[in-house]
Amino acid sequence: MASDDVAIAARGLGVKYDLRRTRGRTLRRSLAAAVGARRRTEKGSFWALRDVSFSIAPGEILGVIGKNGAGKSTLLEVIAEVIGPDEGVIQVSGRRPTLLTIGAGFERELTGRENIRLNAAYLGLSRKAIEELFEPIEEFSELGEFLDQPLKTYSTGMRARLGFSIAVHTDPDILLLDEVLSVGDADFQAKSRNRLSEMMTRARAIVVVSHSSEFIEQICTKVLWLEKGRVREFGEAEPILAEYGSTVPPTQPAPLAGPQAAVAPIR
Amino acid sequence: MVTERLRGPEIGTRSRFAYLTQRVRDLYAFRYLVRYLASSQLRVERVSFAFGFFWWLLDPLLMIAIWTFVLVGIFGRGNAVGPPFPIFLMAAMLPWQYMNRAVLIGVSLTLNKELQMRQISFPRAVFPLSISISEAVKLLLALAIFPIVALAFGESLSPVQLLALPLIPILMAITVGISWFFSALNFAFRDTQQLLSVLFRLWMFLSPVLYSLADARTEIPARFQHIYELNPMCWILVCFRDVLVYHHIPSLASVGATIVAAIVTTTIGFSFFNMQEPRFARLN
Repeated sequence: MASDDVAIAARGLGVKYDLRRTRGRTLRRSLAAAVGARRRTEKGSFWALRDVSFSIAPGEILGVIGKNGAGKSTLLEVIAEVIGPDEGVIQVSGRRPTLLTIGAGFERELTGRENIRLNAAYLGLSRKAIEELFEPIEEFSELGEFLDQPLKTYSTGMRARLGFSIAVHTDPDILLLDEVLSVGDADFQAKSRNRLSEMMTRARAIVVVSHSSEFIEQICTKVLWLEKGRVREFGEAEPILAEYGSTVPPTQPAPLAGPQAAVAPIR
Repeated sequence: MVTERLRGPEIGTRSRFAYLTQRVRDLYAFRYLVRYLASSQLRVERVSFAFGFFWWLLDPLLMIAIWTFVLVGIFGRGNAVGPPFPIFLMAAMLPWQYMNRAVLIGVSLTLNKELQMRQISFPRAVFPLSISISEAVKLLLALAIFPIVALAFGESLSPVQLLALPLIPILMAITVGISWFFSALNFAFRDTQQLLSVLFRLWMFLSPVLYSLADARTEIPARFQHIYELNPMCWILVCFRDVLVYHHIPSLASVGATIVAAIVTTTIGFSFFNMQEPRFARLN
């Protein structure tokens, strides 16, 4: 099963959201359920993903397409190991961290520098690896002495820039990209684009999520088309994109051309 | 290092053990995160309270003062022979309070880090673990003033008291096991957190904190005695008191019992935590 020619493989993958339990059980809700408030709680469960199977080899770029609620984000969460599957098996190769969101785990009270450390630690980096990150991140983020200020003094843009800088310097094996996220001014965006394409050459595999087929068309080798949590099509990009394009009204062009995607901001 | 990760319920029950050993390795791989969380916890507390780390000393001392007042001042209890009551109490109250605080903070921290858990994949077991480490630093500071208090009450000091130091890692192991268990339970049943402080109060009365194990043995009916002594906190408290108050080297049996308690609680706590963990990010 564990073979070298597979970057990501899913077999019969299913993720279930138990509607009664998504908010956690409490004594009150359990009692309510026990004494007969059944009608309201008996909504049952809902499969965000069901019977999803696919596999991609190292070096491939997988595009995940589908409408809202098709299960794209859930799939990314499973690949990033944030949630575990309820059914089936997912196999992800690589040991470097997979990052789902930029700026994850930031703490307002800590300084920018401390947040770099914390964020990298959440990604499982060792002390030594983190020390080596400081200089390139400092330089890339262009935050200067703000790095020694608490994060609460940062503007939204500065915070995003810091998060992005960390994200592109941790070099994940599996790179998860969401369609568009522009951070900072034009210069910074150009720099980000270069850095991303560099990362893309180093990653073992890349997963791109998008509603629009244009962005996917540009870069993907394989396409997974999800519909209501199930696989509608999986295979070579072109024929599937053509079919997908015919079912969906043409989307507006992406706000800015080019693969200026960033590590997925899911929530 | 891991290069291949298989996840999902169909990897089979045979690999449940493999899964748990994998989780142990993962936790080890994230050792820097544990260390960082522990030290930043201490740093945040030190800067965000007016008295900073004096609270770390004041809190247990106030606790001891109150219980001494209640038990000796009001109920006239105390040791006619033997060590002064505050010393007797302090030796068990410090480790007890450590466990109590570490578990309560660990449980709520694990729940409050929901955002991080939804965004990054890392072993969630780091939270209870890092709290038991940062609280242990405070315990060490509180234990450091034990000799001063003992001298103030006219007690002598002895090198045997230093044996309290090797007891701390055992106490930490017991604590983190309990903390893992209740943190995971709190995800399934949110009332756990509310019930926990009540449970811990009861648990304290059922542990040799305010009284000695010898007292308990004379009071408790013989058939409940074994059950009483199965309490994972029981023997570690006995050991602390032996060492700190009576300057005894603890018996092999009681040291053995604490080690068994540590192994059993960490194993159960860690297994339960990791079996629940895949659902954490979806239970909010």
